[in-house]
Amino acid sequence: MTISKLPPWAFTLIALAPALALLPFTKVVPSEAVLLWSGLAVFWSVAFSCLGWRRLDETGRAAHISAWVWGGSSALFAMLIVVGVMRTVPGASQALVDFIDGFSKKHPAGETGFIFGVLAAAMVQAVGYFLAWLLCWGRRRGA
Amino acid sequence: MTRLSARSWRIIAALGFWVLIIAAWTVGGSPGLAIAYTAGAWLAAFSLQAWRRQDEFEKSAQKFSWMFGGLFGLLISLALLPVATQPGVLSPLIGWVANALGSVDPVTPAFVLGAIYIALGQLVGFSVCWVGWHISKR
Amino acid sequence: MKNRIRVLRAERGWTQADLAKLLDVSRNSVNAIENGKYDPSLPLAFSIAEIFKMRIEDIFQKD
Repeated sequence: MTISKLPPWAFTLIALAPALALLPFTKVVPSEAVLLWSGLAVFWSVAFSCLGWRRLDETGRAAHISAWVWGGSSALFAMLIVVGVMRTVPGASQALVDFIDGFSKKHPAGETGFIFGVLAAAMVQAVGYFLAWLLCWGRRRGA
Repeated sequence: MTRLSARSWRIIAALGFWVLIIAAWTVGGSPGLAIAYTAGAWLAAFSLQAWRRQDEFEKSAQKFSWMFGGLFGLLISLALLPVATQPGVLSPLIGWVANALGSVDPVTPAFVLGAIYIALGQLVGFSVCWVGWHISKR
Repeated sequence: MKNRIRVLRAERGWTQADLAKLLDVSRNSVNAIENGKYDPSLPLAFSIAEIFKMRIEDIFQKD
């Protein structure tokens, strides 16, 4: 089967493969290598996401657009609320601070915290998007 | 009131949001944070009302722009991380957020700033795409 | 999609704003649909056909 005949979900798996492969090794691999691999993984994901998009029909595309708009933005909004709650509840943010501090041996705590904020926001949106897409998919199948 | 146009609801949303944000900044501390959250809730509620009053053409514009412009903005923000994490750029911003939140540790305001950075990148991408979409549909 | 909305509108002496008001959409929407830059949804296409008292296929044609 040529790559152009693969179903859209196959492109999603191919797109995510490098990023998922990196996850177990982030603490043992040098941070420069993690950064390079992450950059390459982003390019890879974009390329195969575009290919998968072209394989989607109109309904599929509409589902992905709705899922990103509603799922992604709701998740980001919820995350900002949670972060604010953590800020106001005494001791709530300590677990987050300790976790991030574990990664900041070589880099300033501010820089590490910033990057974690960026990654957390991107990942939260991705999770919200995925959950919303599952809902759209379930509704389409009449679940 | 329910027959107000989408534009009117957007104006109400934006004006109310900024008034509350200025009030939050002026009051400061925990009461200020509570006012800031009220501002967020105000913006969300009235933006949703504006969305419901919009026609399908404008809804298409916003969905398309948030999906493609927002994603492009997200990718550009990630690509610009090496620039954004320069000490001369990051430290003053972290200090500003730390003052606003009243934080003692450097990590929490940096974390919040990271999330805001990504949200702002997407907002810029969305805005550019939205303008481009409307120009292309003339 | 190609359509005859501009012609049908002109026959009735309506401006884009008049048609937009009848359809409860913005004038920009009507302009984009007339110019073939935006394809209306099925419900909107039915509304347009109802307003002009014609069938959808008599108003819209595939490119």
